[in-house]
Amino acid sequence: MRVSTSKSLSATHIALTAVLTAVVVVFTLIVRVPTPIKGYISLCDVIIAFSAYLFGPWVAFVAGGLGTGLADFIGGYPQWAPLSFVIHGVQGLLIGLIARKKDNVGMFIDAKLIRLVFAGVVGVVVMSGGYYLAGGVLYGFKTALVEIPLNVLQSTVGFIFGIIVMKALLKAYPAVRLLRR
Amino acid sequence: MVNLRNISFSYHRYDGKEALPLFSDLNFSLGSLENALIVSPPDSGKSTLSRILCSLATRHNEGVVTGEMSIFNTNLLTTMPWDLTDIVTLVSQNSSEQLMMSSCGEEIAFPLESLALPQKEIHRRVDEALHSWDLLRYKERNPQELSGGEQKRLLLAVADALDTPLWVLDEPFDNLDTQWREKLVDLLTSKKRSVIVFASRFLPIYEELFHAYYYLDEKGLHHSDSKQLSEMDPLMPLPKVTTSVPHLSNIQMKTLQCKNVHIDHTTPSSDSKALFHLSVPHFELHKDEVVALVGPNGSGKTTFSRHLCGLQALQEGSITINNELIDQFRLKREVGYLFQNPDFGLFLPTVREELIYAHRFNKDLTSQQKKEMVHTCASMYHLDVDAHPTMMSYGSRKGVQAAIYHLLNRPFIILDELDSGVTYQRACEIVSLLRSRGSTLLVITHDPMFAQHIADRQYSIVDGAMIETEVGS
Amino acid sequence: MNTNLYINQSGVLYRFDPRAKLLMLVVLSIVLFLPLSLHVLWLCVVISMLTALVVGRFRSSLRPLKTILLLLILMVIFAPLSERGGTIAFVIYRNIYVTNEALEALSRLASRLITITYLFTIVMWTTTISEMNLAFQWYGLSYKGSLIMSLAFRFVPSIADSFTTIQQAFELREEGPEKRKKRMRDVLPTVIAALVVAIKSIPYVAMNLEHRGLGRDQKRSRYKELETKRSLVVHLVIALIIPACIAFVGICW
Repeated sequence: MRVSTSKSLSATHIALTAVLTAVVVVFTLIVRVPTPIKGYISLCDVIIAFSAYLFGPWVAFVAGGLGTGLADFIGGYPQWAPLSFVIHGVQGLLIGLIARKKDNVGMFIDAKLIRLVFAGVVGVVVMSGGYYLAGGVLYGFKTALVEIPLNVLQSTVGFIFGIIVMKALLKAYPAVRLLRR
Repeated sequence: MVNLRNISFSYHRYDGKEALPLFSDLNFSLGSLENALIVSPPDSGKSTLSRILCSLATRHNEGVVTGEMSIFNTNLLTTMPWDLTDIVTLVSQNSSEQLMMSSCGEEIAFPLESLALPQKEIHRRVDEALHSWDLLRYKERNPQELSGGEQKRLLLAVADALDTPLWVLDEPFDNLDTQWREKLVDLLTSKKRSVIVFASRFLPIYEELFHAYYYLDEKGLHHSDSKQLSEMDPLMPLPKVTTSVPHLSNIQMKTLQCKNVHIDHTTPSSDSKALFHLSVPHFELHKDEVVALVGPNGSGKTTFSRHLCGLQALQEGSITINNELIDQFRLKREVGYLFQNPDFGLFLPTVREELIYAHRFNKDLTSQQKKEMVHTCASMYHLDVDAHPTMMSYGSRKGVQAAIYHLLNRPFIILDELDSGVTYQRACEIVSLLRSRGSTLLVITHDPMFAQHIADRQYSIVDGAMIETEVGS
Repeated sequence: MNTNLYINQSGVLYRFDPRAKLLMLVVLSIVLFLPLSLHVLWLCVVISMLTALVVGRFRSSLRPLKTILLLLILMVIFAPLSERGGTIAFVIYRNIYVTNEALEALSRLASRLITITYLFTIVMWTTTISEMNLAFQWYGLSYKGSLIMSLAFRFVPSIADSFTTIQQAFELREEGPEKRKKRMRDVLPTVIAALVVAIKSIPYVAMNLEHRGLGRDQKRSRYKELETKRSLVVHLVIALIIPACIAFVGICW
């Protein structure tokens, strides 16, 4: 197994991805906000969107996919882990790809709000669509329809607060920009 | 042989102001197999200097280093930290932050894997190091489950397994029992390697262990001797507070009593997750006083405090304020708690916003009054209202935490390990300021001298029971 | 936070090579989607539940079922809506009826769901995270990926702890009466403060990794690895044969 030096094995990149993955796990399992519709919605989508907006597609792919997969595993419902990995991974990847803007040096810079929102909406479609398709195969398409409003709510709240949290964090802790290579 | 010449370091600043150098024109040299002690008050750059010695500080955008640095004739400024793995080992002050892996064995094995040692050799060194520090039974256990002292031993075991010619130790004697302190002293005097020890205070155990003694402050690195160092950072008289914050409601002074409280608490480490028991037959906080709470690690001080401020419900016993039984939820409004880690709760862009936060819905004050309140409070605590709290020094963040509580209405405030990580002077300042507000303070500390200096009364935890003792015992 | 769902005991399933276990899990899951007879599908349910009973204790062997109970109930409720154009099995009320085809589809979906749930749970109970990490590496996960996975796992409990502590610090900081409702806006300060604490630790994690040698030119050696013995081939073959048998029996019956 060849270990390459410099960028591809950059310790900062590894540390960033690992910590964000752990944050996604915590937000999926612990951070729950009560809603009138169905009890709770999990805030994992907030962190997935946040990671995508701030750090780009690959970090968000791993944080979203591995994070939700690990969360399902730790939470006691491992059968959903592969599904969550794919769906939330692609969600993070697409949001990151659409929202990402790089300058000449290759550093991520702040994108316009409209772009962030558009990326977030794509994320909503991917997440709720993905769970609908996977759910349909696993437990019937009619039953899977029930979940759609909840998933749409969760991922919409997710990207809206992802934007809010990102802006608040940039103001509270400006040094975070240094991680955005 | 370590050589530092004309070293200057300054942190990056994000608010457009000019970067103040943390230290400038620093010179230091150490011969091989020699030991050096560098005493430095908190926030003077000792942790940064320890990282500079491992070629770590500049890579992660902490700041800019200029000058000449070399270890064993390797130029530190051009060497990558991973190429120094077999040359220098750092043991940080905060053990849990340095532990990366999910088992103690893997923690020791990780750097050995980096050095491409054969698998058999890795296993041999892992077992030997764990055995030497009596951690063999934790080989498959998660390091985060270990106590502070055990974690420090694990990091020393890593250093042992790597066996590098230079060790850089930041507050190594912290949290270690006598038995392990003696082992560390043996290692220091064994003449097998060079050791640089960083400390924030001179401890008696440092006597005669080192070839050279230094003192580090913002003016630079100065040669010193053990006698001089032991007289640094003296306990000055408590500062008198003459200003008071306008527009704040007066705190109604009250008394608090705990009767027959029994608390079961877990403590990390040991071979089992046994429940420990703390009994508090009688505990009182009177009006306008400072009480110290002293006890060894894991004795339940933090758990007791959490019950006292309403974060945990009492299972047995009663807490009364002014002789009235008080429930968990009201306790949260009567008893404040400053966590040891000041970062738990900082999230706003400026100090001003953090201080105003609690009063954001306060309709009794105009916004002009709120501004005055916040500015006076900030200047009392030596804080810049426009600074980012998350990016201030540790001592300043502790100040922000205290200032936040200064603006609240809490008849009782618990301060957890206030004196760790800040100078005595800063800690005493905070105590005086909060006391001038009218609150009764419960100060948790390890340091009997500090307790004696600031407290009117003291409780100590002895054999699982909290009893009132002589101040300073 | 308890991140360990591994049940520490010994048995056949524990000695089964993790690489083979993963292979069997994947292949079995695929086989369950083939047109197997309902008898075989429900036989799989019984076998997997019995295995869970043997591996876990009695109470925990029903837990996987509990996690999908709500879903199963929903599937039953929605049965009348599927397969409308078939032979009617029974009528519930006027126009609401259930067809034979719908019952068959329901039976198929339910049995498959229960079996998959139990299979995944049994693998989780009998394989440690580090074994799984090593197995993934054998199947092609890069060192970087496996390091991210083990680091993330290590950080989950401490980030969870700091989150709850921060939440409590905010509770203590409020003035005025205790708020009744917890709204999204109230969680925001905790979320931001927790993110600051987590993100602040990133440079230190990176420094530690580099200090411990990550990035050296030499190829890393391995402390632990899954050996490639002859028994591995046996295990892998077993992992393929069992699902193949089930497929064969299920299709032919």
